[in-house]
Amino acid sequence: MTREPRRGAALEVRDLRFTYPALWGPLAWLARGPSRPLPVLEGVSFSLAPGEHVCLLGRNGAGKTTLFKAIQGFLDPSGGEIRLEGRPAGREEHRRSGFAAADERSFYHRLTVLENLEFFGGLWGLSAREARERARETSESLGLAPLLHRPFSDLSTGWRQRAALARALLHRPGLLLLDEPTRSLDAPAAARFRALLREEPLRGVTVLFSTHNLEEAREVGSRCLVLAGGRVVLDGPPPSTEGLAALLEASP
Amino acid sequence: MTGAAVAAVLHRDLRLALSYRLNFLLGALSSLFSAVLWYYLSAFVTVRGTEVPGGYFAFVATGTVLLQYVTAALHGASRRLREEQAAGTLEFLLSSPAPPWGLLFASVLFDLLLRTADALVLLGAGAALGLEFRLHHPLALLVIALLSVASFAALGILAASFLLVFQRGEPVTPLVGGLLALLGGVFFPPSVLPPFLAAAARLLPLSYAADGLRAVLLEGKGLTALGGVVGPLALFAALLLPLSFLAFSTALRAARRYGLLGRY
Repeated sequence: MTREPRRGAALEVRDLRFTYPALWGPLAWLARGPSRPLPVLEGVSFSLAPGEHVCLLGRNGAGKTTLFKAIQGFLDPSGGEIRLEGRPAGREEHRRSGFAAADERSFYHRLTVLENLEFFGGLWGLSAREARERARETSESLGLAPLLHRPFSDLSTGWRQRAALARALLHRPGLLLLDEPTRSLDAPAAARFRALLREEPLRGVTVLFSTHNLEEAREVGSRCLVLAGGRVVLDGPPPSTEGLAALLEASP
Repeated sequence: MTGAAVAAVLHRDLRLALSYRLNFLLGALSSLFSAVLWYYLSAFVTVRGTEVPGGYFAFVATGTVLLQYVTAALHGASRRLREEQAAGTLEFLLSSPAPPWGLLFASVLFDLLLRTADALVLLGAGAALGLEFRLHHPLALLVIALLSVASFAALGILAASFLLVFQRGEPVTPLVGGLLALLGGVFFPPSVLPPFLAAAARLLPLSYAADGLRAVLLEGKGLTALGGVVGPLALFAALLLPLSFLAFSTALRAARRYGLLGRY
């Protein structure tokens, strides 16, 4: 039950396949890699309109993170196509999209929040001054400003997630990929994080947001994708809890 | 790679290094101790074949500085890659527009700048203890340093290529690192070794770099007198740099295909 790709989509994924290839016997032993092919994505298709916020649901191991990694260019798909703003996603297009991972470790804990943001801004070609200004602007919008000079290691999980969001927004991406960003947050912090998605500077940014929480999925967007058995088995309004459970039960 | 990205990497590395202040100070102190150690040791040691102005102290002090440089260049890329893998920042770095090999080179560059500070401490202490330098041709010093660093940074990137795929257990740095101290002409000249080992030493860029550095720093020679050193060093760099880029690109493609980037 997948939709036809839309015109002018911010992100378009067509028949995307990814299989962890088998390594040659001795190499599989040496690198401790798979000795048999492990298919994860088996023909995923969907598209996101500009500015749309869409939730991605699925069981653990359904391939949500693999899908995010393929869109980001961390994995080379075994087949299919990814188009960003209508163009085949090459490396540059991949790099123009923003990605705020839920992994709080992807920062330098010895540096302050501002130093981290300045560094990542520099990687995207911003001068030190531009990076500092944008880090301050974005942090102001996200309520992070009072903590800019604190070492990253001092931040609570909720603030770390906001820092991850601030980092993703530094280079003003058109597409934001959020892989379970509220996974480790308490309920009020998760609600505040979701509210940020409706405010500046996130308004107008296309968002793909993965979660295990159906209530959260309903709040984030009017549309959700359910991934199961390596395919999108539902593309539409978030289902009821019972409907989702039945859908996941029926999927391989 | 943009200047902004290089500046960002250097600035980050400086901030990280300064956040471990004691380590920073101990590095300089260690160079000071080395100079004093070599000074007193050289009073008791005479090694045939070390007939450079300043004797064994000058020979071993310059050799130690060079060894610090090439070790930083050799280990820098793989050490940094391991740190980024462990910190979980590697995937994020690779999603930036900066080319991966450029990020590695910029990190190695910072390590080399740190080693320059250590080298200045060591050579400064050496000068205070009576070492005389005859640096009449700074350009020659720069050329030898650049060619040496390029050769060893290329070997370091080759090592990092293994790490991308195997995460640990690359064979390049243990093999090359072990040979450097033995055959590189750092602590004694290769001429004192058995003939087959002395011949093997001529296959290492460090032997040429050590000869060149001593000729420039201690004997005041310029580029025109160093053809026998600059030529082989340039050849090593010309062969190793493209090989390391090819290996790193291949390893990166394999890591993307097999989903190995996030593993460590």
